[in-house]
Amino acid sequence: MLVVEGIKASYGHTEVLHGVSFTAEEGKITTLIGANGAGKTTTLNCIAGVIKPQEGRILWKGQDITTLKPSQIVRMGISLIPEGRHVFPQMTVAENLEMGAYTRKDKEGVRRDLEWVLELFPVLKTRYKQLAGTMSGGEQQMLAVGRSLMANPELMLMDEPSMGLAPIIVQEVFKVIHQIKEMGKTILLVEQNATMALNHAHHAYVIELGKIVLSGSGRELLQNPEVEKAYLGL
Amino acid sequence: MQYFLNGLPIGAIYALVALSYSLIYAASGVLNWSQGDMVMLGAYLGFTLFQLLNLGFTPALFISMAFVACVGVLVQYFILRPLRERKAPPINVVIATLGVAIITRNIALVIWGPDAQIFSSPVSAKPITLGALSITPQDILIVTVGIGLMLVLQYFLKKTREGKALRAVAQDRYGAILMGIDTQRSDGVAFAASAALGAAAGILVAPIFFVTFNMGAGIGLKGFVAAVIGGLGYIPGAIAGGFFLGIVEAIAGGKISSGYRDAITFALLILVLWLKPSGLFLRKTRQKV
Repeated sequence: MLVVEGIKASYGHTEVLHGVSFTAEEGKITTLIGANGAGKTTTLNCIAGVIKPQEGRILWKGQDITTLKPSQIVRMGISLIPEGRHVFPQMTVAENLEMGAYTRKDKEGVRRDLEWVLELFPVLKTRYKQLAGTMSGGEQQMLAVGRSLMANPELMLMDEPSMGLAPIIVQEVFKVIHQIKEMGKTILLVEQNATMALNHAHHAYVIELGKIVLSGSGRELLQNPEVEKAYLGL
Repeated sequence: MQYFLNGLPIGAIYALVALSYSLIYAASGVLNWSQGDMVMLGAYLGFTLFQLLNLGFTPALFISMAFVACVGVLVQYFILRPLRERKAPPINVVIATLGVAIITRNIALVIWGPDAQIFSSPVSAKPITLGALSITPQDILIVTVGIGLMLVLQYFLKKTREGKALRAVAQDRYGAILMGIDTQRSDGVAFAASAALGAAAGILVAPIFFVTFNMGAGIGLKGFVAAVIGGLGYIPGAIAGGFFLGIVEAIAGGKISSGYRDAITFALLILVLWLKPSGLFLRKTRQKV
């Protein structure tokens, strides 16, 4: 289980997280929804070790990972798929996937994982030798997910995987998220597309201006009138 | 055609120095002004090992490349890294590398003295004539070793784990961090490789010019011009820029006057910065490493 306890984080002198606490259960999809600037991405960056929180702690499977470096956190089985994909544009799909497994030493396992990632995303197989920068947004998102899977993570942090994608591609992305969950991986999903996220999540949190203001099962929050008014835009 | 041939060896040297600028710039976003002095350091070490200790040319080349690579790592670790951690503005980093250049130059002055040293060529400098063209074995050596090192660099960047990690960092630093790549380490690798390339350029150029403590300023600046002409941070551009500059200088020196050679080089720099600041050889899409 991932436990986030009262983390505070700042950019310069501006505090953006004012004590965020939540948990993500193993083998389930947990989502964090909220408006632009609410602190969703900062929260994920804290878990991944890219930003160090000033206060609070982050526990993964009972172990304190708050002060670990990003490279150590990847080795602990936590992988962040960043907002905007951040694939390596001048590298081929093959090289991008290889970079995903950068921290791994088990060649046999990497080869096996590569095989099933290509099975999960047939498009990556057909574009195997193509430069990532020349692919469409949806294909790049698939590559970002595949690259992250190559690290063989137990916990996957996904930052706005549906951003900037056509509705039909968004459906596909969520289908993949479900498949990944079925394989027993834990997912923490951050989304602005609240309807989609809540429909798929076991548990959900609403974050507003650096604080968790509401939590419940995905279905509960879908029916919550406040959430409906603020995030579902119905 | 003869001018073209004359321009190749000095072009290869400019290309190596240009690569050393571009590699560091692409991988860590730093403009390292101490590159020219790594060239000087390489030349002096080569001189000491080859001329004074009578080691062969090849061991002298590799030992001084390895030694200067270590200097590069020290510069990255003790100068760049602390500035990075304090989130210093880029101009501070540039000034710090200028400081490194001045210190290196003065250390060389203390060790090797103010007099110019002669590095006698390991092969003959007597031209071989082929019809109307002539080339010296020394020129052939420079071009061969230069191109050889460029191929080694290409292999390193495309085929090895460290090299690929370096390219990943150059293309998307945040993405690379998320893959678990240690960017301090890849910065160190970039500085080491760049310093080693500079050192090789120093040993290759040493038999042509005298070895002096302030030789780094001139050749460093020429290499930088070549890197800018090719598009700073663009590896194939640095190679093309180096050879282009070498050949232009040879033609300018032969057709106009060698006294105007440097003026023409810097006029070319101004022209490139004015008309096509992203470099002559860069296509529309921005490419790195």
